[in-house]
Amino acid sequence: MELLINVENRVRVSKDDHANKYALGDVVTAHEDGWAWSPAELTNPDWRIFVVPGLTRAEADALRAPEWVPSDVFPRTLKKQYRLQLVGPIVPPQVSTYLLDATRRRPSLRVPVDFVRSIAQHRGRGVDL
Amino acid sequence: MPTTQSKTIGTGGDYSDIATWEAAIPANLVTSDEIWQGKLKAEEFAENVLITGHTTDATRYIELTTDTDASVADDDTNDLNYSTSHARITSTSTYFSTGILKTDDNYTRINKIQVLNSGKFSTNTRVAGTNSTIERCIFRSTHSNNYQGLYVQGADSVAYRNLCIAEATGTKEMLYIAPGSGIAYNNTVVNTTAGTQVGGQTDYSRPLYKNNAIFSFKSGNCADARGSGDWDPEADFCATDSSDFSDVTDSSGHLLSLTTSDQFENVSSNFKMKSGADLEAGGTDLTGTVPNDFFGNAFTAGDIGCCAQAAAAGGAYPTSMLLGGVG
Repeated sequence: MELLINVENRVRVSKDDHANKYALGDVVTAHEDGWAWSPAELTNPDWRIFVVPGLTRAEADALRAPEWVPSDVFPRTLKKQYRLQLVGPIVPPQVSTYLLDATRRRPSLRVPVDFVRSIAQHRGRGVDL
Repeated sequence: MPTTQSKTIGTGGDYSDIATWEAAIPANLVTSDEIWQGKLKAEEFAENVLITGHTTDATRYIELTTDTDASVADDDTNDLNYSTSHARITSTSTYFSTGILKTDDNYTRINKIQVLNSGKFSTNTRVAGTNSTIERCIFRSTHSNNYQGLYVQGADSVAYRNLCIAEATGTKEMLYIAPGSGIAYNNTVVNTTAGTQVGGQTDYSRPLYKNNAIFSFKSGNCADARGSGDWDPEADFCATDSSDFSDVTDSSGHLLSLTTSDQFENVSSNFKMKSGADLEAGGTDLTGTVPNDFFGNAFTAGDIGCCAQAAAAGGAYPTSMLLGGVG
């Protein structure tokens, strides 16, 4: 699978902003290997593309899905249930270099599926995928 | 004057899918002084759609619509029903009970799209943004354990008009407002398998229901209301096959006990108004607010449902209609 990942933290001033706005490590969408990404998708400085051989469609769908918080009073939808942890010692230098290049000279980066699985976290509570 | 950022979505378009287009929209459209318009190509978008996290106002907003000739509504020779030849959002998800399509942002406009819900325990479309407008859409559900067809959740001043909402054997309300306000004018709501479901229901809300065609529901359940007094909706000049339209006190002028097959070209596959239908000019004159039907053709004053009779080909939808909000 190929994952289009957001690497920008949008400005947040409230708890709702955290729930509703894109943040670093959110998976925007997922497509099959070899996907023909559009020029806009290949040049947006806020996005990067991971090519992840072996990632299943079910895993990719879970990574990009919103989170539904049921409530009789005020049910809510959070932007994403999971995020990818893209900072810290767990992230190899090659990946960090790719993530920091806002010119997007390199269209995508191939990463091992185990790496993606290891950095997938629950967005709110840090629970593993 | 806001700048309109019009983007195509789908194969060969500006964005691959709706999620990517939505992620490209600036967080604050007021400060960027932009309208963001997404136009779906005539293909299937198998995704759950969530539009949220954007600051908008009445002149800087988000609009999800279709590309040229990509909607059923673009050609009045099409049947009025879900079509696999046109732009459509689909999902078979069982976990996403919030809806196949959900909009949280205020002033969002949704028009001319189709949403198919074939998944279990999921609302078709949920609108939670105040001052939103939903029009000329087809919401079709085919699973026996669907939740609501269109659910207006905690949003005021929502206008929903010229919608075709059809469900096979759903177990929940097809037009549900809980809570919220706004207008529901000229919608066609049909349960294709007669049952005990609720056509329209409000929970502590006060919308205006007018000129809606609501067929094949339990008697008295076409405009069912929880709450009373200030929370009681007003439902007037609607049409149904039931002998009792609603349990709301502010309710009058309905056409009752109609024969469903006399109203539509086909009661399960084409919800266009049939020649000689009671729906024709059977309601109240709303042409000042809703001048044209689903296909963009002029309504006769008092037409009920979302499709006018004997539609002239190729009627254009006036810009004022798309920008009108709650009229």
